[in-house]
Amino acid sequence: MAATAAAPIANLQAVAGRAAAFPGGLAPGDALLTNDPYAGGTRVSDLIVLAPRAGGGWAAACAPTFDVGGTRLGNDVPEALDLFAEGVRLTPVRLARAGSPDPDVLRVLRLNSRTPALIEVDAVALLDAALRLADRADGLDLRLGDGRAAVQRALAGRAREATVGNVVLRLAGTTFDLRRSSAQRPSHANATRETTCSAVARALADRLGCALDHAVLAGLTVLTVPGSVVHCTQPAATGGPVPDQVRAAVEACLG
Amino acid sequence: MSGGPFDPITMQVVRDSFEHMSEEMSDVVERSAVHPLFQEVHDYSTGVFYWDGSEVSLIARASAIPAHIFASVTSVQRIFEVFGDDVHDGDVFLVNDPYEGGSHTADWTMMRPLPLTDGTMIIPSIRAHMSDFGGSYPGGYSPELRDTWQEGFRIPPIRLFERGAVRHDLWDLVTGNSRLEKVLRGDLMALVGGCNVGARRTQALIEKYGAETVRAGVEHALDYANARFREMVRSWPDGSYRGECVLDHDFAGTRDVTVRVTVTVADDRLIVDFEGSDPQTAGFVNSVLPNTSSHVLTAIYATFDDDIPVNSGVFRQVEIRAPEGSVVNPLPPAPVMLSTVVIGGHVGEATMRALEQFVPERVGNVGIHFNVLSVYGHDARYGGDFYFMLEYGASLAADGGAYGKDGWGAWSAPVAKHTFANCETQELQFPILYEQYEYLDDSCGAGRWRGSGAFAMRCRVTGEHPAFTNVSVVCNEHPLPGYAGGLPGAPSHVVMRPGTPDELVVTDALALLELQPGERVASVKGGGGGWGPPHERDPEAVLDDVLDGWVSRERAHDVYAVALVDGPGGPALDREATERLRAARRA
Repeated sequence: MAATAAAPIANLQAVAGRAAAFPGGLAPGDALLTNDPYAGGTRVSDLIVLAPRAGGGWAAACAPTFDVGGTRLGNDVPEALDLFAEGVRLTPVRLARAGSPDPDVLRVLRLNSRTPALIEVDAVALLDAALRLADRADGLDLRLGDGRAAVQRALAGRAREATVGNVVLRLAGTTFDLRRSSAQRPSHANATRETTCSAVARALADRLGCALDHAVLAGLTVLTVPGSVVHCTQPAATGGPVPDQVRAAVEACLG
Repeated sequence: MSGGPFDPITMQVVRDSFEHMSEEMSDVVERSAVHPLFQEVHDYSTGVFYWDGSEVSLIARASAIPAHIFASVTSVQRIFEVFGDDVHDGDVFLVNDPYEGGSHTADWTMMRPLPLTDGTMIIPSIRAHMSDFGGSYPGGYSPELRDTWQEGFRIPPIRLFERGAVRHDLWDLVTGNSRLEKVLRGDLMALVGGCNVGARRTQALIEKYGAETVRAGVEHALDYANARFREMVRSWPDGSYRGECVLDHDFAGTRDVTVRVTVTVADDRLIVDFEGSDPQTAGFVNSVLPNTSSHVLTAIYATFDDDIPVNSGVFRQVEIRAPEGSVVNPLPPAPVMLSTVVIGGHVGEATMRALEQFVPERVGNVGIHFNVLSVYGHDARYGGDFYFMLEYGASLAADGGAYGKDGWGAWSAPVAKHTFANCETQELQFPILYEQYEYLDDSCGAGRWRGSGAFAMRCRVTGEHPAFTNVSVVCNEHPLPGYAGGLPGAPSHVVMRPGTPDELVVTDALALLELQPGERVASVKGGGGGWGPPHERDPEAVLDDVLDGWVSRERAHDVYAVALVDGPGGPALDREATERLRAARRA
């Protein structure tokens, strides 16, 4: 996977897994939309659109949108006891068929946002980006970068520990052990395992100046416990600062 | 009888076939749905609709929730507005949004159109109250709600099945927005099954009689109901009659929210105008127009002769006007969650107040005392699974007196098919234990025909986990009214942790109170109002009430003007003293 600097690559990988198993399959020109943290998404306000490439694989576009319902405008609900209080959960749906947006899905999006015009524009823009990327990526060299080797070189022999908020990280070589982090919270201060892994990868790529792709993740071992703030289980809310805390912990361990 | 295609007998057979298939659809749902909202409480309704190419009509419905099924006309109409001609055999549509053809987010309407003749369709449909649908609070009933996004996942008209094939992604989308996803899947499948049975029976009817005959039967049923209704309305005196009903509060700081209505009888038509009703409020009591209309029709239907069919033939003669931005016709995104009973019931009572002025012997309570207790948490007995329950027993008990009959209890007009949940079944499914579940003595709204008594419920949280409760109380300051000189029912209230130092009496609202295992909640739900002056009640009936515990001897004397003496077998009538009391009362 190749990605821009802020992309949640582990999340996108997980969404691609869901797309591959989409009932009836997705053909070139189709696209899938989700914001569901438990289908690979990060938090409800982040929309992810995935489109299949003719030659295999997927092109993705993701961005935050302004509002997807829930308790209050903007979906920042620190007191949320679960995902549903944060906003609407868009389990993976076919956003487009043969390049045309699905009217049922667009109606659902508009109705479930306090800013209906914005969410429609956001979804259609992401769709356009994903479809264009799927089309153009057909001619690109998509081999992985040198992240795996860079990570292994940089982390060799390192051993440190850092605590940021409820996140406890022990770094030992290429192993990021987060198992002593707190149990998941009855608030929005949780992240899925995929989001945690994405945060680790992004922090490393930033620090090492290497391409943010799956090679970075492939060089790592990330240890988490299900039911913790870094590996929450549904329907925990996920809109809080845990990804930032994970990145801060990684940076602290890297010194 | 010749048995020709348009003879009256065939027309009647066609109409009855639709009534019967509605009942069969209802049976399918009852026997296959999962949540006790269906099998225990019957909070769903089935019916069959007709699309004539420009307008949707209700042609038949099962014994159900009037407030559901009358409002469903708008849901079906909305499908054709959105999808136009792109509606095909095998398609199944779903909607729940109050501003897109629904009434409140909890009620989901599923529709399965079937072609009849060129350009016309028959649409078996089911509206059901689903257990959870996301939003800020489980079950959707919280006095904290301030807009419709907080109330839950909003479903515009969508095609859930396309020519018989489920759209898996949309199915997962709607079920994935429930905290009780597995339960919702089962309940939704029950609705699909019910609609499919309706479609199969419709198809068989078409095959037996032919599409043109079925269409003629449908239009005959509508025309017949229309003619009967017009005949009845013509017998009423022309004129304009006003009514109003006051809701204690809107759960957001506004008190005495008032519904005002003017019912005008104009030859064979009724105009029901809510001009002057209060503006929409911040709380979750606002009623969208389809819901308002359904409660108007519930009140009007109560005045009918029993043999007038319940279908849109009647609706055509009733013009309902409600100012935009009012509590009976709000603009989005006003919250509406409680409106199917509150303020819906107040719409019905206000309409009854107007009808009382020209058909007093046909009026009675069509509102509900509604102590909403929604309880949720985790059940240790089932591996800590999340549960959600509505304490329905304390919500549906009141029934007013009417001309010729006392309030029955355990029955409320706008939700006629609702039934008390069985205590033992509730205890099996949810971690609570009932300690009291009964009508209270001496609590009936007095009248020549008295209302039902107040209903008392007390239960205890069991298990290992706390239970979270949202409480919404209405009809504390303004209980269900009496009619034609009858007195109001008893008021409602709720007590959290009764009999402890932490006891808390709730007469309006309480959000997210955490009850620990062993702690209790008690509810008194007020009774129905009476009909006619109490001192006109048959003294023998008052004596029976005293012997049965419904009325105390003191109340018999003070309110009913009935004198009792101690006889060898208990209280007995003192007829002479009673006559003196009543003569004084009449004077």
